[in-house]
Amino acid sequence: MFKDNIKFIYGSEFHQFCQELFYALSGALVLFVLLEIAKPQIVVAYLNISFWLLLWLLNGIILLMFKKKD
Amino acid sequence: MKNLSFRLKTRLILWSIITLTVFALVYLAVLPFGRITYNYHQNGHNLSGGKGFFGNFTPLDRIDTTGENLKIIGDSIYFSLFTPRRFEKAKMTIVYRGFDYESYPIIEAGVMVDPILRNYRTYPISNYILDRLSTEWKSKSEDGLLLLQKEKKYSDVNDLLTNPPKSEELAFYNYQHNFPYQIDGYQAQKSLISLPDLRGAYQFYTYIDNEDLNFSADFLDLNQNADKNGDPVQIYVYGNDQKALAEYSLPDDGNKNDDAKIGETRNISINIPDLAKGVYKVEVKINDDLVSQNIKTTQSKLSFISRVWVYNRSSASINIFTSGAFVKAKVNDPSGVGVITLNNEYLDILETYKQVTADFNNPQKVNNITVFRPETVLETSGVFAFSGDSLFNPDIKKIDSSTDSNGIKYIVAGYSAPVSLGIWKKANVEMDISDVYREKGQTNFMISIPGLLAENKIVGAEIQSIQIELTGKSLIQKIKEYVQR
Repeated sequence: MFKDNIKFIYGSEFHQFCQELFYALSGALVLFVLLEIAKPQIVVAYLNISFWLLLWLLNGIILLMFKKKD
Repeated sequence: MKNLSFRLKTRLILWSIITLTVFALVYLAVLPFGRITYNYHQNGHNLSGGKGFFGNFTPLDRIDTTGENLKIIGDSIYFSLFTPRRFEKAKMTIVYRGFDYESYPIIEAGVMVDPILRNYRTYPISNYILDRLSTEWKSKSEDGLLLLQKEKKYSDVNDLLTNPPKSEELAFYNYQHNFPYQIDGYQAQKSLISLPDLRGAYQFYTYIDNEDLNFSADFLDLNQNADKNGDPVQIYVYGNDQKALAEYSLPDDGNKNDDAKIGETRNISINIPDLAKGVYKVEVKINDDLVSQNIKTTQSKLSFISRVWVYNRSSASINIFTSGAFVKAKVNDPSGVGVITLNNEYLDILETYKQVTADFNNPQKVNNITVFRPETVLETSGVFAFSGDSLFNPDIKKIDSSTDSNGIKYIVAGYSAPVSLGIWKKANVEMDISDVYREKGQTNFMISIPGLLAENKIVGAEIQSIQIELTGKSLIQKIKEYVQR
């Protein structure tokens, strides 16, 4: 049902957005980890890193689904 | 921007958001202007999902978190505040309401200054005794100092300090002033006095007049608690100006584990000659793993301040004398469960770690406590001594929930009454946090309602919100200081 309703078109704007979001989130997570090492607790006090990781993971899964369609 | 591809536009927007977020976090970590405000409300939400800056309120059996606001049901409660850097001042604004000001007249906030002694520097949130007396007595408030007079005699606080009344007519609250103290007819003794073994930290006053300050103790490490800092000994001697005159120390015995292997006893002997006449304070700063044994002194006036933990493993009968009108007693070992006597009347202590509070029946100027069992911790609002003759209290009476105000005619208080907001009250508490204890960015605070016992399940106060505004050195000031160094 889910597969039938959503079509992943390689090279579409959605695919491009997912790719860019994945790079940006990966970069952000690395920067957050570096900030946490430099100043412990400063990131986790303001942001919930779990949400960022979940978003990054979902985005990665979507990108893999694009790959399957290839 | 129009000619940019979708991919490039997306990249630019996303990386701008990430860069702005990182810059914001760096700014909030450095706080270049040295100022930030943190807010707490029990059901407050953090939109960005972070865990926030306020730690949990503990212990859980002293709070009720079921309603909309935090309710305090036991004294004292603690919380920590994470700060990305050190600050000099904290202004706590607390919106609260009390439920029984007659029974629990005092609400105080504190900040931890010493992790070994677990000392908190306290500041008033509300003092109903002073609020009530302000309407009944002559009251004058100036520069954050409140002067209350039953009969008008002084024009201001300075006038009172230059021409003080009798010490029994004067009381302080959140205010410190050391008047010259003298014991008429005092004769220094040469004989050595032995005191019972004491566990954990303690402080005492001693009076010096034409004699050396002499004190010696053997320290025994029980190694029952693991502490990464070990169990060092630090002793400070303070003069009348509250400045440390001398310092003595011993490192840990070499065993930082909790294997209960008792270390060898090690001695510190204090002998300070040529001291001016007056009162001196000695602070023995040790944790609860250390026992002071074989305590010997030639001081004939020696009074322990507020708290003593009588080790007494031999279950001897030990007489203790106090100027306080009440006693809080607790036993920290099952072998200590039993009775103590207060002016020859029995007080049962039936459980370990449960503090029992009792007033003396027919209180005298000097009250007597007898301890028969080991590991008894005693607290009072005054001082303790192990003989009636050595008891003396140079402190001016402090206004607290157990103060007997009979005989008091003048009160000096560092206090401003809270502002009424209908059923709620708003109090501002300004704290000096430049030298407080801070570990891993956490500063520890407490809120105290003396006398409020969790087992009674009475709500002492309900807290709607807490706001802590922190101010400290700006980045430019810090750089200037660094360069000047």
